[in-house]
Amino acid sequence: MENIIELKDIRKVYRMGDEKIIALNDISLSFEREKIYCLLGTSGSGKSTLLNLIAGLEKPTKGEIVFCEEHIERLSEKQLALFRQKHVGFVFQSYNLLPTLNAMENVTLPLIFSGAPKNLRQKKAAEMLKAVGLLNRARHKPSQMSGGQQQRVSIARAFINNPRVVFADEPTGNLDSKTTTEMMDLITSIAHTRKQTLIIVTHDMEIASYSDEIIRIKDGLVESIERTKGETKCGE
Amino acid sequence: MNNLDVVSMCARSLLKRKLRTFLTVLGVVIGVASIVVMISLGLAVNDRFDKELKNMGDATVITVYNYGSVEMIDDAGQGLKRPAPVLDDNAVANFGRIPGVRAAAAFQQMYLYMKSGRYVLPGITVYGIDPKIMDVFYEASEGRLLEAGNDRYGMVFGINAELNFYKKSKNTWYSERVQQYWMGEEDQPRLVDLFNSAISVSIDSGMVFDSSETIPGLRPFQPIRAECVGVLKSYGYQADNAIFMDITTVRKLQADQRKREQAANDYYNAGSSVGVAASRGARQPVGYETVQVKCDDMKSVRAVSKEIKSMGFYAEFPSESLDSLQSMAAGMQALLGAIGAVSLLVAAIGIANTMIMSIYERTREIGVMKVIGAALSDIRKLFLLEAVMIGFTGGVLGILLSLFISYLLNSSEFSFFSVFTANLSQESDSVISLITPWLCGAAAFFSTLIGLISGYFPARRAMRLSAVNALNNV
Ligand SMILES: Nc1ncnc2c1ncn2[C@@H]1O[C@H](COP(=O)(O)OP(=O)(O)OP(=O)(O)O)[C@@H](O)[C@H]1O
Ligand SMILES: [Mg+2]
Repeated sequence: MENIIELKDIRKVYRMGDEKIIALNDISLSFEREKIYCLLGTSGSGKSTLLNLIAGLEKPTKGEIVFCEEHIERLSEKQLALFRQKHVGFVFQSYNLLPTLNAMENVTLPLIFSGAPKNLRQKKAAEMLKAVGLLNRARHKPSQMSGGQQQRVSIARAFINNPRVVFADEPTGNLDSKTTTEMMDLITSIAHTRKQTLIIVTHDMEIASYSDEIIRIKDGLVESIERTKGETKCGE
Repeated sequence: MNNLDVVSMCARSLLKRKLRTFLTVLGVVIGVASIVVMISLGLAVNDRFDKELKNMGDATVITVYNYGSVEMIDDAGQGLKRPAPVLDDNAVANFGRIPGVRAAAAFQQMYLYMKSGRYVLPGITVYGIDPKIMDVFYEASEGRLLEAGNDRYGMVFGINAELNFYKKSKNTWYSERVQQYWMGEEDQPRLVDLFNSAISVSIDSGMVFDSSETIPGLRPFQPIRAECVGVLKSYGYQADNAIFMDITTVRKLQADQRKREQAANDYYNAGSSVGVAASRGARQPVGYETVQVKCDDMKSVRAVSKEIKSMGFYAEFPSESLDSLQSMAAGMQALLGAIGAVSLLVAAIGIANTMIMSIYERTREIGVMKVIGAALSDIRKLFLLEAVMIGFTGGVLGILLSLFISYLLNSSEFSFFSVFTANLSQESDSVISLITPWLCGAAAFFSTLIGLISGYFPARRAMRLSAVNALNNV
């Protein structure tokens, strides 16, 4: 299958005064279309750093990142914003909904930023809210919803502009095990039906089992890549 | 991101933090209101000065008076009195040669009585002017100006002079039209058809009041039949309410009048040596009463006036008496303006502070917006517009507040600027505080601009926040 993302000799070094912290140490990886990946590793191993680099939130110290045939390490801050608008969805551990907006508006936010007309926004947002089962909560503010519900809204938001790749950094870190299962079922099934690539960061083996490929990271290096047998467990 | 969405998101974020928004806006309201009220006080004074100047007549005309003597301050600062030179044709010619002078004209002034059909005008100031140079000083709004040699009994009316005619009756002693004019009804109909009526003019009030006293041996004054040839444009209170005639005619009438007064004095004081002596003393005065000097422009007025004074004459120009008042008022205005400006500056700092606080508080939100696709310009717009909205709202409310304060000031008896305006005429429509549409527009514009400026750096800071750092910030 065709690769949607390719990393070549990615290195990320943080400087803290005289001290150098090598967060990523010459990593080369490739991600295929429509697959679900899991970045697994202990705390401080460099998972989030890797995710941020791929999503274009940070620049690598060295190396190349080709995303949809574009060298994103060469893009300007302005171009990156546009690039994220078009190709990237993001699910955070702590939901990160805007407190002043209701569920519906939070979901439409990426479309608002891309300047889509209002009626189209409303239609798509309603579809997404329906997909995550929260249409009846459309007018609720984040503070009026449970953590699980907020995360569903955040998932709807990540998928609304139909991005090529959705990133999720410990999306279930704040949820209980039952909700975690629901959430993983939801996110993987949406990605699957929409033929999108999903990259999940976690240190939980349970979650890793939802993926097609588990990439183990340790001390800034890829320790192993392991293909999980059989099909993905999409919302059986 | 389209503009409507930016506006709606800003409005929400402002409404979310109601109290803080309110307090910041309040700061702007107070700042704007104080500067607008301060400026309005100044504008009111200026407006008053302007009206006053207009009533005083042509600003480029210097009037030289025949005062006999003039008080001078010499270089040593000592006051000395010396007789003024005679205001004769020679002096007029000299004035005409001063650089910056267009023309100088002698004026004689007297009080005459008029009658036209049923309408009477019991007394009006008539100026005698040299018809040859009348066009330097005046322009006609109707008809024409006096013509040399052609208008022995021709008259040119000041624009409001006709209002002084009224229909004669037993208990009418003044023209109601004049009264109504000053009450603000400036469109008064004409009673006398000026250009088609004969107007009798007399030096004797008896023609109007039918109570001519006769002095034995003196033939009563035969009223002259004059005609109106033109009406002037507006040239200040005095000219507007006067009539202009050929100076030769006026001087003849004045001589006749003096002769009669002397005869009357002689008659009534017959036997009293004091009276006789007094009446004998009343000789024909030397020179003209006043000379008006028309300058090329406002700029040359002061220099010309100085020159005339240095020749020993007493001269005055309209803005002279207002000059020192005006500079005093300007100083006061500058001070008040500075106070207003300081409060506006404080308001600007308030906006900047609020925006910076808001950015600290919303660092995470900014990070999220960046990650999910907000362009840098979107972030900047969002924060800039919030500051602009605070500035604009504060500006508009500040204008409303200052309109209210202005209303209170104007409706109260209290007059802050009475110090400056006390010796100016007390016009009924004069105000203490004057807020013009122009001032409102400027206030709204500047308060918005202040929002923009004080929001600029915070907005740039928000724009430059790194998305990842912002997200990790808890
Ligand atoms: N902005 C930064 N400045 C300095 N060091 C950093 C920065 N971000 C990450 N690091 C360091 O890089 C290393 C990798 O961090 P990263 O956040 O990628 O870990 P992680 O695998 O996501 O851990 P966790 O599971 O706890 O989220 C850590 O040692 C961390 O201290
Ligand atoms: Mg992490």
